[in-house]
Amino acid sequence: MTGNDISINVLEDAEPAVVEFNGALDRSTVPEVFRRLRPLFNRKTPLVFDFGGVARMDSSGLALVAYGFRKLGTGSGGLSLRSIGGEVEKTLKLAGWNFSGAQSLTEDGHSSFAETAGAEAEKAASSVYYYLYLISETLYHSIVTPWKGEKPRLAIFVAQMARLGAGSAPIVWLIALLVGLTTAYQAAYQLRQFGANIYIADLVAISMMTELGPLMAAIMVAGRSGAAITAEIGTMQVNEEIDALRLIGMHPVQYLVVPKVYAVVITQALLGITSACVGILGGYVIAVSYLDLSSAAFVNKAVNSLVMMDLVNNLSKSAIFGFIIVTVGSFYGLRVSGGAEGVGRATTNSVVTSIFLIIVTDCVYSLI
Amino acid sequence: MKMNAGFTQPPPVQIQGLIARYGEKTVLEGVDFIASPGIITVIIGGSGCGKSTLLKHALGLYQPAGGRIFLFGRDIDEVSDTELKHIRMRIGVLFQNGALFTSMTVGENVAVVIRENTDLPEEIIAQMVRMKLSLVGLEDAIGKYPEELSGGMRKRAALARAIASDPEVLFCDEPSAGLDPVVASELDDLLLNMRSLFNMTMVVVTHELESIKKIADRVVMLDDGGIVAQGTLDEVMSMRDYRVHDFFNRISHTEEKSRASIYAVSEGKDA
Repeated sequence: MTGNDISINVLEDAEPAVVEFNGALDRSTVPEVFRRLRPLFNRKTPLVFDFGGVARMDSSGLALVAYGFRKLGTGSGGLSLRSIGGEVEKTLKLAGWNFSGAQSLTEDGHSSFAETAGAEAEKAASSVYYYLYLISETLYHSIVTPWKGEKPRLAIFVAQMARLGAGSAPIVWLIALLVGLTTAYQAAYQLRQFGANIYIADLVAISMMTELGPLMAAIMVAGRSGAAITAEIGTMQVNEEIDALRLIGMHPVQYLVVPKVYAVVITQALLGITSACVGILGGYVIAVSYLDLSSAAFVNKAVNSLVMMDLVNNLSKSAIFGFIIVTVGSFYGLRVSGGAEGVGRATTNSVVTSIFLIIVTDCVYSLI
Repeated sequence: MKMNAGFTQPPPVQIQGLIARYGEKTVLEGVDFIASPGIITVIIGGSGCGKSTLLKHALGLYQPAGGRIFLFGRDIDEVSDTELKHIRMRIGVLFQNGALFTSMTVGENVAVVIRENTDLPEEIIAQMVRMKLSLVGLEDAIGKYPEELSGGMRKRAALARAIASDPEVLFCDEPSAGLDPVVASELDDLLLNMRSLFNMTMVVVTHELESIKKIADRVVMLDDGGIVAQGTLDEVMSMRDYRVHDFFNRISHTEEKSRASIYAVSEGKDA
C-alpha cells in the first residue's frame, strides 16, 4: 500500500456522465475506484474520465482505463479522456498511447473499425503499387538495360538456373507422375463403364499438357524456389547487403532479380512441358496395366489429341508462372523488416501469394 | 584538428532541415548537419534517437519526409541516377554488421566494387584488392568467406570494401558494435590511419565513449529528434544540458561495468 488517497466525483447528470478523479490513481486506490465505477461500466453508456486532479497514476490506473475502453469502446460514443497532463500523460505514453489535452483515444491512439479497415486498404493498395513498380523495374532491367551496354551476368544466371530450376526438377516430375497416375486411375473407373477406355489418352494428354503440368510444376517451384528467393533477398535486406549493393552502384533489381527472372522463366517453361510428359507417362502406365490398352493405341491417341496450341499454351503459361514466382518472392524479400522473424513471415507470405496469383492467372488464362 | 575547407569547395555532406519519419513516427525534425572536409565527425546519442536514420538519409538510401541533402554540393534529390552513382562512388560505407556479401569471398567483396564501376583489367583489380586488404591487415583472408571470419575480421574486411573505390568520404555506422574493447580500439586506429593516409572526411555513428574520445574531431549529439549539442568533445561535455550529461553519464557507466566484467572474467571470477 502506498498510502495515497483519491476522491471520485461522478457527475451522472452531465451528458455524457463525467468521472472526476482527485488524488493518486494507483494500486492502493484502484480497487475501491473500480468497485465504484463497475456499475457505470456495466451500464454501457458514454463516459468521460477527467484526470485534472490526478497527481499520480501507475499501471493499475492504466489498466482501469484500458478496461473502460474494452467495455465501453473509445471516442465520444464510449469512454473518452480529458484534462490529461503531467504524470497521467507520461504513464499513458508508457503504454504507447499518445495523448495531450482532451483528445480521445479514437483521435490519437487506438483505431475504430473504419480506421483499421481504411489503414489495411491503404496498406494493400501500397503493396499492389510497389509490386507493379517492381514488375516495371524488372521488365526494364530485363529488356532495356542489356541493350545499353550493361555487362551480362551469365555466371549468376547459370548458377540460378541450376539452383532454382534444375534443383526443383526431381520433385516436380515425381509429383507430375503421381498426378498423371491418379487422374488416369480416377477417369479409368468411369470410362470403363461406357467402354470408352481409349479416351483416357485424350483426357490425360490434354489435361496434363494444358492445365495440370504447368500448374503443378508452378506450385512446387513456388513452394521451393519462391521461398528460397524471399529468404535469400530478405536475409540480405536484414544484413544491409541490399543497401551495400545500392551504394556500390549495383541496382538490386538488376543484380538480384533479373538473373532469377531469366533463370526461372526458362526453367519453368522446361519444367512445365516435361512435367506434362511425365504426367502423361503416369496415365500410360494406368492405361496399359489397368485398362489393357496397347502402347501403340495410347501413344497414337494421345499424340493426335494434342495440337500445337496446347504446347504454346503450356510454355507461355509456365513462363508467366515463373515470372510471378520470382517477382513475388523478390517483392517480399525486398520489403523484409524486423530481423529473422521478418524473414520467416515474408517467406510464408511469399509462398501463399505466389500460389494464389498462379491459380488466379491460370483461371484467367483458361477463360481467354 | 584539420580544417582544409576552401571557400569554393562545397562541404562533402550537407543536410538542411531533414525530416525523417517511419510511418506516423517522426524520428528527425528539421536537422541541419555539415561534415567538414578532412575531419572525423562523430554522431552520438541514445538508442533510437535517429543516428543511423540520419546516416541512411545522408546516403540517399531513405527518402526524407522533408529537407534537402547535398553530397559534394549536389542535391541528391535532383541528380540523375547516373550522377547519383558517380557521387556514391566518392563515398564509402562501413555498415553496422559489415554487410559483406555472404556468397562472395573477402577478395570478391572488395573486387566487386571496383569491377562494377571501372573498366580496369582483372590483373589491376586483383592487385588493388590485395592492397586494400593489406591496409586492414587481412591479405591472408582474401579467399575466405565472411562466415569463416571473426567479428573483428569481418569489420576490417568491410572496411577494405568501403575504401575499395578510394572514397573521399567514409560513413561508419557503429563500427565498434559487437566488438571487444581491444578489437574496437584496433578498428579505431585503422580509421585514424585511413584519415591520415587519404585525408578522408569521416562521419561515424557510435555511442562507445572510448571510440569517441579517440577519433572524434567534432561531436554532434542527437536527441528528441534534433541536434542538441555540437562541437569538440570537450565543448560538448562541458555544455550545461541535462540530456548531454545524462548521455555521457549513462555510457561511461555502461563502459565501466563492461570493463569490470571483462576484468572479472580474465581473473577467473564470476562476472
